[in-house]
Amino acid sequence: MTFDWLLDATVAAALPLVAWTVARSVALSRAIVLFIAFGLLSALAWTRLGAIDVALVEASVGAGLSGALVMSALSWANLDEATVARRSVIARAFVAAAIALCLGAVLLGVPDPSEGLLGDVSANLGDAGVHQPITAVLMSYRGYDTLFELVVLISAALTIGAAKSARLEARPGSDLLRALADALLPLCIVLSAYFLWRGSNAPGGAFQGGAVLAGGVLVSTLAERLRRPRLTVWWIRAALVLGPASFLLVGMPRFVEGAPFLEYGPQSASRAIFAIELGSLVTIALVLASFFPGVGPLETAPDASSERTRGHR
Amino acid sequence: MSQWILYAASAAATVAIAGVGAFVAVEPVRRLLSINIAYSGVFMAFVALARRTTSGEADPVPHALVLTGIVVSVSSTALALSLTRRLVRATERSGRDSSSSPDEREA
Repeated sequence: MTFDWLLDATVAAALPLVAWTVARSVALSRAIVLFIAFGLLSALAWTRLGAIDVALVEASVGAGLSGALVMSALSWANLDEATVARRSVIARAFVAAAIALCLGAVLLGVPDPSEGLLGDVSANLGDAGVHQPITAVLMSYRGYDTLFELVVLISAALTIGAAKSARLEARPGSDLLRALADALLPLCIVLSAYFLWRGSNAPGGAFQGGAVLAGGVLVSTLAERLRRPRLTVWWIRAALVLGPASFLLVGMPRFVEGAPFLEYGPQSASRAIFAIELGSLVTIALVLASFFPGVGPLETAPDASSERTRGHR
Repeated sequence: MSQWILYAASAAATVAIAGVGAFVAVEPVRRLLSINIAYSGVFMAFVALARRTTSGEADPVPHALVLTGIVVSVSSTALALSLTRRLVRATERSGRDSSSSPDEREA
């Protein structure tokens, strides 16, 4: 009991401390490494709080993929500007303390033992077709949320494609990196299929599976074993909308018959949710993988060169 | 002191520190880092509040909301980074050749 409390207190105290050092570090590279450490620490905190699903996504997406994304910024960010003004630390600490006190008062003012929606979720789990409450909430009770979240993801991927970021410069190929990528990608595919399958009665699901798959694809892209998914190819576009499309295809038949939108019916709910999760996994993995700029020789990057000629016209 | 109170207090401090950090940051990438940490603090508040149940099993609805939130926060980070990168390149270009006017280059 005491050890548990000590561990919780250490993690809870470390989080704001790391947030502070990220804001205060002079070197951007140091701030980024601390940021990744913060993501892993919060994944640890969420495991402590019993949120295994959230911790899985945070470790793979929040710390892993976000970390890789901001780290890629080191290659182009203007490091000369990376100055942290050293003055008025006391004023900032005072403002931060005031905000923290207000937020803390609101957070700790909520009624303490509170069941939330746990009872409602558990009571209706029989009709949902899955045994894992979080999967039931995501795919069944709050299906609207997940459907439109996928639309948000696709819009972000399309906008990033339109912003035409040039490729990252390829370093001379490392055999070690290639060997690592070749070993990791099959492992990630198996792991993501496992998460998808287990999602109906244990922590896991489309988000976790998609994130792990995107991680494997990303490592292979960095090792130049795979190319960045090009959103101009028709079958990649088709795969991109697979998630929302499967939602609508599965939700429509009962809607036409007069049932509420996105209701699957108790008999077929289990299969319907699996089909939606499979489509969502493809969409999530593809979108997350396409966030990262491609890797290749800079001279042949078609995006960068076409933009340059247009710029000088 | 119960466990969720510890983490709720930690969430409040994290959001406050990262929020101030995001406002005072000069460089866009640094600001993004602080904004992301503030996101994590908000998620932490959700997960901590989900833990108030008496049964020991956490409320799954906030967890599902946080799952959605993490994926959306990553897509917003990726979008902001790609726009920042575009901005950095545009600034470098306008610094290199100051002969043509900026309006022509943007067209």
